[in-house]
Amino acid sequence: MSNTQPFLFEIGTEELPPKSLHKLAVALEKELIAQLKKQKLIDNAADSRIYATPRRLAVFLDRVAIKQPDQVVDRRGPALKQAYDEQGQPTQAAIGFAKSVGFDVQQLQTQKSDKGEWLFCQVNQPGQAAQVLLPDCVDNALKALPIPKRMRWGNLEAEFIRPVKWVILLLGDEVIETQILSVKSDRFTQGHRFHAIRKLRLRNANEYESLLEQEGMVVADFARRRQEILTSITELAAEKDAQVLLDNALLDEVTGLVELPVALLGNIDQEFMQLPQEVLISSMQDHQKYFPLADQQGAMLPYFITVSNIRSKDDQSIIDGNERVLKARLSDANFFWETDRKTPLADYHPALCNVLFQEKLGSLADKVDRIKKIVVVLAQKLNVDTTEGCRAAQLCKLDLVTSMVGEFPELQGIMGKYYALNDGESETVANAIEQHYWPKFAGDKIPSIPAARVLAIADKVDTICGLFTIDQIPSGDRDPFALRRAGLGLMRILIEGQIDLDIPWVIAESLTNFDLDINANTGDEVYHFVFDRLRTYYQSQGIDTRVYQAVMQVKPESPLDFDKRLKAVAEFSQLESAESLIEANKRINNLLQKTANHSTGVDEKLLQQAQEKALFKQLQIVIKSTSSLLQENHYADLLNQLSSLKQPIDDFFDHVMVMDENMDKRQNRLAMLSNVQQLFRQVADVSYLK
Amino acid sequence: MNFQNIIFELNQYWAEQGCVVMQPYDMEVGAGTFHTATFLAAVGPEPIATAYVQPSRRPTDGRYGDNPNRTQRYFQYQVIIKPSPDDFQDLYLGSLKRLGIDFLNADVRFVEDDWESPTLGAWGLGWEIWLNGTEVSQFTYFQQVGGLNCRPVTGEITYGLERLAMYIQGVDSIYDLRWNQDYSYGDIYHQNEVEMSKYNFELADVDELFHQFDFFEQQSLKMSEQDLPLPSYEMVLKASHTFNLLDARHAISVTERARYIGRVRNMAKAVAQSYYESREKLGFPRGQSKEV
Repeated sequence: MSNTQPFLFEIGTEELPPKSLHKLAVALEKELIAQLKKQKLIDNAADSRIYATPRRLAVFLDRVAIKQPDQVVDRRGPALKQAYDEQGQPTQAAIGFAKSVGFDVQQLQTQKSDKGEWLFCQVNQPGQAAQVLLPDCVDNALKALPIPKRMRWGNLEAEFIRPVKWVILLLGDEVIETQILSVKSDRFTQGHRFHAIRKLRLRNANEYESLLEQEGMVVADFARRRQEILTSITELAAEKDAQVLLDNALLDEVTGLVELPVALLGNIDQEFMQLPQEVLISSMQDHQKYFPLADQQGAMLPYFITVSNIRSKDDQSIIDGNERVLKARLSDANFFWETDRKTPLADYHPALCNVLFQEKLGSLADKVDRIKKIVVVLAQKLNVDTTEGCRAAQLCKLDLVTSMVGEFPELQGIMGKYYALNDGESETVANAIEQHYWPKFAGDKIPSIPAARVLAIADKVDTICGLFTIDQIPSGDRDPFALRRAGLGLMRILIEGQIDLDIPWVIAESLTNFDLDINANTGDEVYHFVFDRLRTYYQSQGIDTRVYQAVMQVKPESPLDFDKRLKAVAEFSQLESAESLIEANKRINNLLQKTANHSTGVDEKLLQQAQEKALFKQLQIVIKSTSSLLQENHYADLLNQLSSLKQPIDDFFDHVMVMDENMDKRQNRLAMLSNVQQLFRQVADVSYLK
Repeated sequence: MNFQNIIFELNQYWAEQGCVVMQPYDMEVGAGTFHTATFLAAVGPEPIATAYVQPSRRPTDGRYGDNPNRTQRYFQYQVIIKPSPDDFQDLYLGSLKRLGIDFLNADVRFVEDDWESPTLGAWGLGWEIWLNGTEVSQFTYFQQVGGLNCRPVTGEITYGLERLAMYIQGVDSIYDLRWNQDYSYGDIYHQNEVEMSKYNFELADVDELFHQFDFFEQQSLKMSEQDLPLPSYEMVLKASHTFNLLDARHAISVTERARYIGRVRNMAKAVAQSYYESREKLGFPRGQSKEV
């Protein structure tokens, strides 16, 4: 593009939510670029940069056209029927349209499509100035931002994520005059809240980043600030021969909380170091946004790093203050740790009766009873020790009523493990208590030991079946009991844990545990719900959804079996012969669908043409060679064998008329195709691969 | 600066900003938000600017006077301005400066904290304010109160006076705070914490409290029906504190908990509606005299 200028948009606000700050900036960039592209103000050569701090979001584009290119635009008029009367004279509608585009009716063309015929013409539209277009581009981009809760302030009607304080729209060195969210645009930004009190005047869009840094004491670039924090906390840790226990989400959040990061190291009193590591980390990370430190072997060290937002004249007083807060939190945690352990975990059970799981599904104690029942049948089926499984089930929710988990809910399961070990429960029971919540989030690990897997399966199946029973089925954004996550977790445990378990069986077992009227469809709904989780699971592994659908058609009952079929089909789809076999399956499905009621019995005597005889012969060979493969679930080999049918099937369709007038011949040929269909459907309906 | 001087300075500062300096609401409340000058003043279009200390009771936070950071009663300093002014954050920072806090010395930050009160049917967006990592204040733009949308928006600042004073005086325990030159916070209130914790957790009569809750609820709804939102609201406060006591006595199971909160919310909503209507009938007079 010729004749461009750099463009800067900045929106200054009161402090933005740190966790979503980066996401918001990326979304703003994307939306703004989309708006400018739509107006043909930028092309793909334009380079963009994003800035995000607690008090600002900004996008810089290095070349924005100062004027839209002239465009030829299509204008569509009235339909021909409305454009001319019975005498063939133009109607008012036609004349009006012609006038609006600056032509005579005679000069108009007609345009035709399968939807009808219209009057039509092309008009030249001179490009508008960027000055005129940019305000709307910005407005629309802001409206499109993914903000979960917008707010109002003062007596204004404007709505944004936080109150807006200033707005900059600069094209080169010129202010684009407009009003955004009740604020008039200008060229003044603000630097650091405390280090740079006066407003900063931008001469042009280019000097934004450097002016903010030099005079504003603000590192506006999110990625750079994040890197600066990472470097300084790593260096600070190294001084103590320590490593930072880095959580990337925390690093993002801290980056979203400061404009001028200064890392400071504080000490933790030795008396707290006997607390479980997770308690220490939670207190530092989740509550205070501190980075915990560990030695090179990963053992916690009595230090933390906090990132302040000022270059203080008195770092030590900031450190003292932060040490004092952490001490207060850890004193509380220490108190809970001491108090909770005075009562054996098992003795918390009565309190569980008072904790509601769901109104119609009873208390957590009721849930534990149901989990136990599933654990018993599951453990037997999967050859896992029933006694330990039941013990773990009995104890698995009890830490929810301890003081520690009351204060640190994120430690559920983990405290259960510590308290169980403290009571002398076995390692297996303790680990099963912790791991039955796994996987906790997308991509998290699955439980590592059999007892934990059984318990995790039982817990998740009970949750999903229970809520489906009372019709609390997730829809859209609404999934308050996180059933989708439970469903995916269940499927991942079975597949990645190599556990061959029939889902309909375990659903049926679970549904008998509810003292409620169960709808006849519920089992089926749960089956489809959990298998539906696999769609995105496999998508994220780069497997085509058509492969998933092909397997889903034959409704495998075990996720592990599903997985084997899916991998075989994925492999099959890469074979050279696959394309025509897929096509053939599609054709066979269509034929058989049209002609209901056919057997698979083929009468050899009725076979006449060489091609049908050849197909029959190959079918016999394949049927024989695949039966053992099917029994052992060797789906890939099986499909490989079936690929030998390619040539005979192709020849058959090329030369043999299936729908013969002679009904016996016709039925015989359909029966043969029915054999082919059944052979493939032992694995999947490959016609879905088309 | 001692504890009472902090209160004097804040009163002086906010008075200079045009706030009416009010007195605490004379009933047990869980927070400054329950004062009529916040909850009811946030309803409807009439402007307000006010500041006051509010003793706040949280029976479950009692620690028998043993914990240096937690007490079952503490003091909030509340500032309410409607419509929320454009420089609200700066006004707040000005008050910290008045208390001698140096922003190039201490690390002051606005950290996202969205506020919701299920009992009051209210929510807002804002921050907790960190002073070297300690939360010393909350800052909220009310979006809804008693189920009614806030138009215009009310801005609320709540200072935790003890936390702030602990920073200013550099002490590690609430009880070591200097109240004035002669007495400490502990001298004045330690026995109260010990005895009230014992009462709240161990001795409050559960059966009678349940009975009282029902009575307050019934009175509140009756007063709302008779277009008397202010007496009705006092019954809400009594019911709310009764619920908090029952909670401290572990007398309310998780199932029932949500139901009790819902009952208080219903009362609060009825009050908000009734108060709005009563002000509307009067022509929303507050603040109009200023124009004359």
